[in-house]
Amino acid sequence: MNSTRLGEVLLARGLITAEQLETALRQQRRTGEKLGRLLLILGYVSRLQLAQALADRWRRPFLTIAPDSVDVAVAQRFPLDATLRLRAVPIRDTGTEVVVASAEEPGEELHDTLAVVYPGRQPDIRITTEWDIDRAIALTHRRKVVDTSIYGLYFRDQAESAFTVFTLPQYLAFSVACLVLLAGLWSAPLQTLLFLNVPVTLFMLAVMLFRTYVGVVGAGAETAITITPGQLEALEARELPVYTILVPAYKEARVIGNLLRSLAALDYPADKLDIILLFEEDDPETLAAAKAAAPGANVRFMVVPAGEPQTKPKACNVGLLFAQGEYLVIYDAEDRPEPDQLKKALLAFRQGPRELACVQAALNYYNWNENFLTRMFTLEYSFWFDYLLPGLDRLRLPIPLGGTSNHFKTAVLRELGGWDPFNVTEDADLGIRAAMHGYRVGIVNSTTYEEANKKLGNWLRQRSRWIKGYMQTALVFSRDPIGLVRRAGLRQAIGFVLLIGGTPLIFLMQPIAIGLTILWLVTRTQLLTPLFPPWLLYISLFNLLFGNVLAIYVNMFAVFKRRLHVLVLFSILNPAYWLLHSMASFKALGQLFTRPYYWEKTTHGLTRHGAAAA
Amino acid sequence: MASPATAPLPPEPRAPWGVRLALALAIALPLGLAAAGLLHDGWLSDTHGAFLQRVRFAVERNRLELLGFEYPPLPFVLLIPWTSAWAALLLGTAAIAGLAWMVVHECTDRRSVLPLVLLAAALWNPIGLHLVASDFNEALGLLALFIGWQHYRRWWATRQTVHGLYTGLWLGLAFYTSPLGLALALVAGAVLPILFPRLQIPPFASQLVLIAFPGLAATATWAYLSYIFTGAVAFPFSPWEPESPTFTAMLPWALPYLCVGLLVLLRPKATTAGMVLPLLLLAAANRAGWHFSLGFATVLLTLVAIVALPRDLPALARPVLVALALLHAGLAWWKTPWPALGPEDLAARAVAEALAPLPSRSVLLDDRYAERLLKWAPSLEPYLTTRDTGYEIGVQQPLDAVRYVLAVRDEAGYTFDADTRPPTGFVPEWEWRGFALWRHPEAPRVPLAFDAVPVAAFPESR
Repeated sequence: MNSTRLGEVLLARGLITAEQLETALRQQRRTGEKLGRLLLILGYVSRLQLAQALADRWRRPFLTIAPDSVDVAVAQRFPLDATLRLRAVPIRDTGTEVVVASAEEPGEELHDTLAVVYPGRQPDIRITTEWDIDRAIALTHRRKVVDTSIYGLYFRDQAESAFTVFTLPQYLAFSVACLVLLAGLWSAPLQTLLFLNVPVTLFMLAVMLFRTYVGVVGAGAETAITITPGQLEALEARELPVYTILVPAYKEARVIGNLLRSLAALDYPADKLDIILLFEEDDPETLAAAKAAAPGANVRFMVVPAGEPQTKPKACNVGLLFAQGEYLVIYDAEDRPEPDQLKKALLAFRQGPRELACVQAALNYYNWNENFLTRMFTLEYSFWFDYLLPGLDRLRLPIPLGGTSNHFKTAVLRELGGWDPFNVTEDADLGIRAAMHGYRVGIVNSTTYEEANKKLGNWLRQRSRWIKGYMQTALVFSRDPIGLVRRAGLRQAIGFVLLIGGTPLIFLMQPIAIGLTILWLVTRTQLLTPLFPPWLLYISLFNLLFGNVLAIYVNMFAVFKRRLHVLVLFSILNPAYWLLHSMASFKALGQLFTRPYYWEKTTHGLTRHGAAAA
Repeated sequence: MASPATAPLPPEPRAPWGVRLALALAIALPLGLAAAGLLHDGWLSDTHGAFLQRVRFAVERNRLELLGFEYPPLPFVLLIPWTSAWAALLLGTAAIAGLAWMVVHECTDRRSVLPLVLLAAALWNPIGLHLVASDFNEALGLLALFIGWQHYRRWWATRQTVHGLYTGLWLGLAFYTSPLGLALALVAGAVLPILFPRLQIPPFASQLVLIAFPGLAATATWAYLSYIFTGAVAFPFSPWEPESPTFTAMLPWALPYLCVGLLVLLRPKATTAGMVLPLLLLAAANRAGWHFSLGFATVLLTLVAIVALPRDLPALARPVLVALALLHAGLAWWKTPWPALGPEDLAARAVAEALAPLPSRSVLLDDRYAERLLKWAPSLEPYLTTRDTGYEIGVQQPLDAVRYVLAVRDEAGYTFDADTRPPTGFVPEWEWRGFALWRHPEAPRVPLAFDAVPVAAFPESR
């Protein structure tokens, strides 16, 4: 009945036609969304017209918020979380009245909260647009938004934040280890090197067996029941919740238009999408490109207040503050998610256990056949997302999230503290943190296609950031090993150590192992004999031969599963590709000490494939 | 690019695992018990003896790299944790139980006990006993080949890549028991266009690579290991093997296989040709000098027959097949002797036991001619062999290096030419049934039971 009245108001004002109203009402019957939002999404009214009509309907005055009309001190007295939840900003205090701008129909909770925060003041609530509210929040709570997005996790639990790279005990342990090592090398070099060689070789063996086993288990995941087309068809639009899509976009002017087209192609009611594009203050070009793409009314632009560290997780945290969806997903600017992904993720949440906090979609590359690097990258991603992560899922082990296409229950994400802006693989960190808090991460059978790096320098920057992030994550969660085991369980803790700790270590050790092998093959020197007593030599050989063969083979199947037949033979070149990982690992190790929070930006839009698609 | 396949398949019919296990054990245990009885009576096959002495040597010398000389390597690796004839027996029994487990699945799938009857008939006789009592490596090989093959069938039936992955891995593992693993992988890859007539070249090539890669990689890694430890690609090295059965010798023991082949030919399909492949592979292996026993060939062909059994068997076929299986078993009992120790083994065991208490590396021995002796040696610790450093010095200056010299006789005479040039300064101790022992003058006597005679026929030592 209320909706009809809004329609009547708009009709009476001549803003919509009867046919348009009928179309919107039909849509409303299908999706259950508010009529005003539907009219907005359908493009029949502007935000301003809608807000004015709503003001009429709610018998409230309409207000346009000019920046200089807001008393920041008054606004800041109103708690940020209440501001965000109630979509209302107090903008002036006249002594007897507090003037409040609201984008929602004022309810009892707003009145009660105002009475507590501004006692003795009569509320004068006026209606404004959603965008004005967002702008007012950004203006009045700028500091708070920045602090929350940067230090929210740190203030909640310092132990889970990578703000402190090494804790004092870690520094001490590291220093003592270095001193002992140096002393050992000075006094008994061969024995010391042997002493080092033993745990490293055994750890590499464990990592190799672990990854192969998880990969093989993941290969069998295709036989598990996942989301089927029938289940998707059975979904009623009315039942669909609002889904927030966060897109942190920095220096992405070249690809942002493509992303908006991909988002528009999603098979999800547009009126139930809350798309937030997150821009940085020093990047007006991307903002301009996004505006030029003229996105729909369900897209919000948000400029992230400047503040160090300027990282993607910080931008995501800002987006999380403003997110209105029951579920939330992250996409990168160059992403092309499969259209049914949101529905599949939603069904996965509904079918999954209560503790399922996040669902990860597979990532792969649309420019897979561009050059050697993109082919190898595709091989790697096919194994990681189609075999390894499903394997971890099946074995109930912690899953490090991939950079994008992580779907969350928004409330749980907030409970977990959002992303760690000091961790440069905030996604992997969040996946592990979820496991530590008793939540689970699942895998859904949908793919987001991205742009693979085709240039070596760009690839090295991206990869060194990822590996540095793994090192950060390993350091964070190894601060309290006993607590880790107690909270996550022994199996999960071992899985974490082998995957998150093992990945950088393998890459750091690989060139040394290969170098020693080549040295021995070429010179047949006996110098290495003391370092490899027979039993250790056999394990090293097993790592070298079977480790490589198994990794190559499982990788072959991962691309075969994606029907990328040309890439099957490319898998044999993996050892060369892994050497590039080693280069990136050493760079990451250096940066861990010198620039731990530095975000090595990956440049997108370099592909010819993307240009063609655009 | 396509997203990975996701369509779930209906679950396959399976007997409860308890039933499967009971049936698998029911098939395997009689063989295991029979082999255990033989072992208890003191019988040990040449092949198991050869495995054991090589593993003992590597373990006792702490030189596992010596296994790099040997092919197939899997039995050696499996015997390292427990170097005993009982371990070989248990592994063989377990492998047969594994085979039976899979055949029980065939029974469930076909709702018929005929596959199990065929398998039992092939196994429960002296020929089948060979797989447990004489060469557990062949049982392991059959198991790996059969699992790989079953996954291969499921792969092309369901298109689920995980079965392709297992196919390659099992066939790769099979290579470490028999070169047939690699051959089967290559053949399985090559016949894909027969199974999928519309297969285009890129998917065919990639699937061929996927099936063959583990086998090729297994070959390459083993060759590399041999190379780095020996400087040569020792491939394959199996001096203890008797000759493989010829093609014509195999056929009388393949009655169920031949009968099923005829049944299949009544309604030939593209896959019918696959039934001939194992036979051709065995024939080719024979010509290539790759060893296999009659037991291996018989059971392999029986497994092929089981898998190829038409689902809609003619009414008469079932009793005919059962009759043929029983005939097969009866013939095997009739024509194949039960294993028994020969006099050579008895003598070798007596000598090995006599020398067992001697000090470490005190007996100079050319182990290349002493397979039978070493097979019975509970430990190789007393011997200084060709694989030991110091052997050459031992040959040139035995008085300084060892306390005893043991010569072994073959067609060419005694090793070290001991019958014509006895070791300098050594005292003849005894000569008996192809073994002759010389003793350092200061070394204690080595009593030998039985009917050893003094080495009076030999020239005196200088």
